[in-house]
Amino acid sequence: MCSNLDTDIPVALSKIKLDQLQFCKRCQGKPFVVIQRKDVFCRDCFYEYGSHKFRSTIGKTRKVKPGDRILVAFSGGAGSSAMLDMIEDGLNKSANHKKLMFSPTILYIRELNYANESDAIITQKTHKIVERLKKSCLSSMISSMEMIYQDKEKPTFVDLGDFDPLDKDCPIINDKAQSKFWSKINSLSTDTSKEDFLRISRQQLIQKVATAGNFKYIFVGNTCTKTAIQMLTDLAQGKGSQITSEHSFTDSRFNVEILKPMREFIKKEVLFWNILRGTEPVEWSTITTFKSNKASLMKLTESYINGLEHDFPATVYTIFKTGNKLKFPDPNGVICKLCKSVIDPEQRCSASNALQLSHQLSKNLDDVFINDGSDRILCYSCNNLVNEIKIDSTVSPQKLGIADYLLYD
Amino acid sequence: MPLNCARCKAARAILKRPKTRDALCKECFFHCFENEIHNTIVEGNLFKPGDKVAIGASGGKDSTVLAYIMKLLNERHNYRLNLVLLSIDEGITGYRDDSLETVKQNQKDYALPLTILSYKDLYGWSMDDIVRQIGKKNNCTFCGVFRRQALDRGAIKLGCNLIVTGHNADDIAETILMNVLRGDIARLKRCTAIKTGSGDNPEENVVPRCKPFKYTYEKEIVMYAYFKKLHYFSTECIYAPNAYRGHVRSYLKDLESIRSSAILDIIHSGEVLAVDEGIKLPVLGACERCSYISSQRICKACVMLEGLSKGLPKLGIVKSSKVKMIKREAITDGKKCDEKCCSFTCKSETDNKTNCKS
Repeated sequence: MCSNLDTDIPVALSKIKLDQLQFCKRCQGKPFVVIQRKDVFCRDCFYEYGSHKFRSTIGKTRKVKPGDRILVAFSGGAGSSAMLDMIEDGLNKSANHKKLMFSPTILYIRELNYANESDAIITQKTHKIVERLKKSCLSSMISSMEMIYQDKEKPTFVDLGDFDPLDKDCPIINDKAQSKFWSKINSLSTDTSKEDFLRISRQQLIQKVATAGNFKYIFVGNTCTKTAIQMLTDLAQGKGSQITSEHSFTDSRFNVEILKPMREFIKKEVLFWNILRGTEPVEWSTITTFKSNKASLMKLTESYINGLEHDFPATVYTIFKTGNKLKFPDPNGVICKLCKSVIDPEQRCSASNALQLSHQLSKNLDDVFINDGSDRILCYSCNNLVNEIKIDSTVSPQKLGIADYLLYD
Repeated sequence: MPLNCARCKAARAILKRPKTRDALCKECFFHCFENEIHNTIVEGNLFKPGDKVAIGASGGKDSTVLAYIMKLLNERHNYRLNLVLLSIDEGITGYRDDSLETVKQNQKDYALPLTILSYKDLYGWSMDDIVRQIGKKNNCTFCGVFRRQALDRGAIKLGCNLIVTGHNADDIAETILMNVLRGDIARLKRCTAIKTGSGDNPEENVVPRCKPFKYTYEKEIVMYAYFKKLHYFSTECIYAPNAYRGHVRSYLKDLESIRSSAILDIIHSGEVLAVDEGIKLPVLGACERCSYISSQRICKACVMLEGLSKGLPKLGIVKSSKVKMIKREAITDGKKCDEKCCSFTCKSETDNKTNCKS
């Protein structure tokens, strides 16, 4: 989603006209970056500001204890690159109270070639990411998206040292699983549902690895900007009640809790952190990278928010803050089989009933077809997702058991 | 190849339903459209027999279809409602005077009694007067606040115990998005209610209102009016360039074009999200001056009217916390004027100041 990074930085730089009279607001030193309108930082103070914010985001929830084993999900993108750099930097600090005390392991998941890019580009990107991991002092693991369909007896991840992208015997390169994964993606009729499916799959795969490796927490590099975009997209997909679980610091819907230590950084801060520290992110192209702004709900929302942000710079913060004020759904509710969120309780006069009635009336279906709520196994939005699976026309939908609607065996 | 209707399978389809993208014939579309609204009314428990219902009528597509369908369903399903039309004349030359002609036509066509209340009568100010004072920016704030009250006053005057408005699904989805973008958590909580101002607080001095079109797509309302050949007025208000809402509107239309259920999906999100109990929300009370509901000591309409009459129209637009400051400034300006009493320079100075503020 940050694939336009190359064009973003010059634009961001050109917008900032550092006033000769403006100096770092803390030490009056040479200016390096302006965060909000008046917040000028020099290099040293920006570094302090960033690493303090990272530590305090983790620290204030008092979740992570010294020695906890943490799986750091690293995609190569701007957010997770900055996160990885901050972790490495924090572990090497000599000052005792500023030193990070947990024990992290990096997980890199190889994505598929969604945008049909040339082999040379894919090889180059993979190489760059693997080199970045080798440079790190932390232990690293590699998995790949198709591992969601890995054969039961085989491992779903390998150590960085055992990985060779050209080795056909490497357990995480599985052509059969990959073609199965592709066919599932292609069976979805819209890019919106494809992106949703990939997000759910990625989440489940990370959970699988974290559970197998017996980790206590997972770190993901979602920034404030990404959170705001994703939150509005979720709203447009009917995931209103999931916003809190999905976007607050702690996501405890799964076996292993997911924490988001980068969630208070806006994209700009992350980009400048990467410039300051000389880290070079690698953006993997998504399904919609080279498509128009109207390719998917996500892509549309991203361009919409970026546009608003230009005229109303507080947009991202406002959405983010609104999300923080919402309530967690009742944890005792029924859990969706697909995304593991709590299914919204049934109400008499509601949008979901209205939509069902519209389908029933205009297709002239029987009342029986309407769910009475007791046998619901999917949440509102996952229900939308499976409705976008192209059904083989030789099989009538009535004959399909519900098991066939599930994307995972 | 001509497509057959997905519902009756016999007639030729003439439209694709915006909500479900099913191809339907005209009769089946009418059937679906009317039944869905009937269902919303029944499931939402909107009316009880004997209610006297004021239909907020502007002459636009939503309220024209609303008046038509309310009359139709009332007779078909025997709701036993007493329906009346209620229009508000904001006093916008070249816009409202024309649209009121449409409402008068509706009155004849549907044989429903019509009452028109004007801002000029209620508040002493027409929108034309207000715009003359404050300019074209921010005038929608005045219009919106005044109309909300005006509808209530009209309904009370007519002895109605319910108001129905033509807000459709697009309007509600738009409001949800807007409240998220503005961080207005209190409104986000109440904007999805199909019926407001009823029951929770019996002291509330308002007439309950409801939105039978809550789940009805704007495009389907236009289609219905088109195929039923209903006569409506379709010009944008001449003072309307509400930039921010416009942004949200075009975003919503784009969402709808990507996934047709998006509008209802957003309403679903709005219905199920709950606000954390720890968050402080404004408490509804009554205005000290006019006793209309207000979250402040004095309601927005009274503040706005005071501003207009004192030549400080900004009073109504800025945050309520800044109102005191503006008033204080105005008083000190006045004092200065007293000190330099009778001097000519003084008079022109104060004039300048008031001009700057407006």
